[in-house]
Amino acid sequence: MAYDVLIVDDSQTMRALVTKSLQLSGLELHGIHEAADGRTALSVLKETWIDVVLADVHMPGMSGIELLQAMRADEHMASIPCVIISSDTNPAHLRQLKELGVMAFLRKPFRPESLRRVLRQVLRGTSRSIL
Amino acid sequence: MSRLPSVEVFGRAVATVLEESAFVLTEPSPPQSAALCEGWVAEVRFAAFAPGVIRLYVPGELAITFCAGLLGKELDDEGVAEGGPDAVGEVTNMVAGALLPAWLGEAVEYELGTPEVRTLSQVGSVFEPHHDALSVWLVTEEGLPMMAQVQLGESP
Repeated sequence: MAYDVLIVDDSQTMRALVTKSLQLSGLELHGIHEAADGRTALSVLKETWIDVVLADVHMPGMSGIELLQAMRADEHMASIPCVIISSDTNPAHLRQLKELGVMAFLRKPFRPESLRRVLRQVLRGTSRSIL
Repeated sequence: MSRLPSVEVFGRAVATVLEESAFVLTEPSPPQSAALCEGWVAEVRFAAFAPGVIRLYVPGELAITFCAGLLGKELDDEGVAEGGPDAVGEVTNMVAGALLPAWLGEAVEYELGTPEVRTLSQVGSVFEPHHDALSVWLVTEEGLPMMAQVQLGESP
């Protein structure tokens, strides 16, 4: 099965880094989609089949947490798994992300092997959060 | 007692992030503000026990090295030079994320802003000594200087 992945980060460099890590991951990918903020990500999610969302927390406009809240409130997006890639390890934010059903958290800077491992777990259908 | 982090904690956070993210090795250096060339200043504001800002000054040439290191590309690859400022902003974001728990403790709650990146000439002087700021200077293996600074205050 080939997967469609949505990368949400306001940094073009980080989107390029995550894209490269995905390309090197060995995962079978159908498409890699990008958004620079939560609002753009919601538009992509409404128009495109996405298997997993990789999102930052701090973005101008709509943050990663606000994106997750919007996704969970939409019956068509509520079950799409999300992985957060962020520098922010504020315990309050981590609790909030867990409550929103985030599957995993990768702290920046991350290793490509960590992303590959996490994505394999998430896409394999692990039903329980590994945050 | 100073409310600022120690030089050791701050310097270690910066050096570790640079090495792990952009594969840039650095050593502590004396202040080099007299020999600064044009470059980028990235700022990430935070709110913890007090508001403040974390800054990095990075010469233009080193910013390109950051981008190449982050992406695993060569310095002259397409898009690398243009990506320098964004890379400096992202590295500053990572420094903020590494410093705050190391300085304040893993359990302390804080808020981070998004990085703002400007040229050194746009920012003006951020190198003047300030009673509520700590600056650390580092030099890369190639001899390029950079500065990291944490400053407390509402609108520093």
